[in-house]
Amino acid sequence: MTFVHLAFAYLRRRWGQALLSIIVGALGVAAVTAALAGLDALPRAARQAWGGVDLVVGPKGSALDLVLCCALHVSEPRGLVSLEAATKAVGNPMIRASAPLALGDNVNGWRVVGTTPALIDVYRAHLAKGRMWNDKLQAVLGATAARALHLEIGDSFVGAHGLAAGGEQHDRFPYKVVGILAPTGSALDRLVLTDFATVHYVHAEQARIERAERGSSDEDEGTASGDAATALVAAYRMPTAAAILPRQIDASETLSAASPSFEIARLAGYARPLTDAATALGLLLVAIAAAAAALGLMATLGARTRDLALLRALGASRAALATVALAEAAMIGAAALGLGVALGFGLLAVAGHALAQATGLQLEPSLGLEQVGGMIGGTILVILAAAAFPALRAAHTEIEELL
Amino acid sequence: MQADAAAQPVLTTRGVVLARSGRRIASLPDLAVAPGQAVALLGPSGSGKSTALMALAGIRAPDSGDIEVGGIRLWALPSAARDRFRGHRIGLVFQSFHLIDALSVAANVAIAMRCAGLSPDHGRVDSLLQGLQLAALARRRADRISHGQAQRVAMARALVNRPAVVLADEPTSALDDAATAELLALLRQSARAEGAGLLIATHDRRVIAAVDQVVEMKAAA
Repeated sequence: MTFVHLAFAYLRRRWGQALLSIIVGALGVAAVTAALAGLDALPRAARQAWGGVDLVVGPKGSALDLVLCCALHVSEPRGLVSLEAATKAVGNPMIRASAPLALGDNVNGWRVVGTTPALIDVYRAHLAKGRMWNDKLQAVLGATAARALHLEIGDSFVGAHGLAAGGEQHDRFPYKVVGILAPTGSALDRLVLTDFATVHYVHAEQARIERAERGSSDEDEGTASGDAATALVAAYRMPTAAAILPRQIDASETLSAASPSFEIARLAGYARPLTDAATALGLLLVAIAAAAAALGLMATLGARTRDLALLRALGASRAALATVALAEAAMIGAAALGLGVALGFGLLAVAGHALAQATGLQLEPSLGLEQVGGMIGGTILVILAAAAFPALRAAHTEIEELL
Repeated sequence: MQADAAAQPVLTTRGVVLARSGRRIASLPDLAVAPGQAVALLGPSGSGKSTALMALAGIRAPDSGDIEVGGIRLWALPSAARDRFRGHRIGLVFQSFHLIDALSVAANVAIAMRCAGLSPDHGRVDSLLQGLQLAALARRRADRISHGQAQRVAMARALVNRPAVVLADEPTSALDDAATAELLALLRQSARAEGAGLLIATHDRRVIAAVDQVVEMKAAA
């Protein structure tokens, strides 16, 4: 039997009131946790997704769109660029590796990307099984895509038009799996890679067949030029390239350059007021919970004057009486902190699952040591604030109350 | 029912005068309570019994005079040391027992050890509860036991630290004759078994028959 046991016994006696304080406090802590852990998780998930891509070169337009479409592979392309012009723009010793991207098809919702083997170098990826393609209609699958599609080396599959599942199937152009990449944690894991020319070939042939079926003779109808690419992605050899190349490329009339790190930081900046608001709401809830806990303690202390006087009569020091009040507040605070952190991470897990379903981005929320220290320190301060007055009042209980 | 006269007294008082709000209200006759001896401090309501009990327990200082418990001059001890000493060497039984409702019977007894700065000795608690026929109730919450059982728990709590003296404040008020006799017998027997002196502050003349000595409170001159 210790004074902490006694505090717990008191807490159990007024469990409804204590539970309410714990729940309100936990909601506050959950909001703060979600804001703190989520604030960094989204940019981190994006950073992991874009892998080694330092630069995306695409048509004039929104740089953020280019990044979302061609580095993170979560949105639709906005146009095409000349492969020759884009290749020329990144033809610079400051570039370590570059590869074109031709988007337009999917396999059950998994993107088919026409590219060159240099894309593997951009992401610093490597094959887990098989080999790279050396002919049309051969495919190398990212690790996640291969697993989800249940495809192995030697298997065949057909693509469909568009980037989302449900498009017109290119039944006459089956792909053969020749390689599977080792997992990278990046967007590459979710892609089905094939030769750049294959995407154009499939579309050109499909269009030709459809024209033949309709009896049309327009050679250009429904096909893109073989020189057209959705974008080109590149990895820098040296950091100074980031200061020079995008500016040079943006100066051209047809090309636009986008840096994933810059665009995602900008996006996160837009989200900052939201996370600040969530943090403020969380802190407000924590303050309400602390006030409720303090008022609850004060109210019950009135009813416990007799008990406290008894403890003094039995020899307990004034500090021991204060310990009882402090321990009660500490138990409420610790429970609110634990429950709140679990709830916050639970919310982020649900959000992360939804985000992964929609975009493939893997949200891995975590709190840094400094943030954990801050939350524990903050909780201790709140506990002390909530318990200070009740503890003082408890410590000043006089034994005469009993006799 | 005579205590060992040769034994050193566990409680002695000399020339104790009691005051309340600066006004002298009573003087306490000189006492010498031996181990196992039971003394009744008799007086009507308002005669200063409770004030005397507070002085004897080291809670409120007397206006003058000396109080020794177990050979220690109680009011010479600094406040914090006096609190610890009271917890350790003075057992208190209150008029309405004052158990802590949130705790079990056993915890109500054990907490007296913690308050005195001792490590709870569960064997000691169990043996006291056994001796007072409370073993079966050890885990029951204090607000779920009968009045008679609560009396016995209060006694166990007063004795658990092996005090030199047990001070009981009006323990028989609101009890019928049979219950009074039973309580006093148990209180005497338990205190004697622990080698403690027993002082009962009461206005209840039924107590006289159950004690070794009766001391009448005198109003201050």
